[in-house]
Amino acid sequence: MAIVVNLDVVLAKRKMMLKELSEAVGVSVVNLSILKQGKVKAIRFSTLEAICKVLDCQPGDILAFEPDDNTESHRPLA
Amino acid sequence: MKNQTEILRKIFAIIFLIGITFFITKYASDDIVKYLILIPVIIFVFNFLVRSMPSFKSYFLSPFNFISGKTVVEKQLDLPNEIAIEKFKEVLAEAGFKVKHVDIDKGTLMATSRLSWKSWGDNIYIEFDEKGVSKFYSVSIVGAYSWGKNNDNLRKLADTFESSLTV
Repeated sequence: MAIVVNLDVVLAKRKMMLKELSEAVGVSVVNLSILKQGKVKAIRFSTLEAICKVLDCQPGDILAFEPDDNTESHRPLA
Repeated sequence: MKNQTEILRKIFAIIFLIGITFFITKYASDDIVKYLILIPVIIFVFNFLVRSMPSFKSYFLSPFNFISGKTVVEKQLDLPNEIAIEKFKEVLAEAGFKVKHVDIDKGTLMATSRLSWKSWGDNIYIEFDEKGVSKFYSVSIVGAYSWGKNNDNLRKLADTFESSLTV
């Protein structure tokens, strides 16, 4: 998948365990583990907002786009 | 309240079965007919009693067990076993199944479904292997033909799992 989840990087920078984040955002540890591995199908804005609030970061710190061979890359709009 | 309803449902099913057996054996004139009727009843009661025991998994899944219809689906999940097991504990509960047994070392789960008008109850077995391949079994505890219930169970499980992947 072209969307890469860097949650483990941000967690390491904040020195926070997944269990702490799970308790803070109200999402189960198993779902955060699956998110961390990039196996989720979708993430709600409310969840993303809660994670960014707790980790004091931007969505772009957690999510990144890395086109693979199957994905066409487009030039940015700006 | 839910537990009481479940218990009442089971009691009713057992009383119904015993009642039918008594009625048929009382009025069936031939002894052989009586024994022929008793055999499926005994099998039914036996299956009902052992359905929640994980040690009887091979009995229910055996290809020689013609009285328990079964459906199996294989899927590639690419999740570590520990995470997959925890995930499916949630998914099974959300889909309305009762988780009865979990073995993290072997990568297996077992759950049961309630009595319904289509089925006397079904067992769900899930197996995860190290290569990320998972097998899902739905077995009718009694009934060579499941009237689509086994397929419904697995479809419900798949749909619940898919929707749970939105965090």
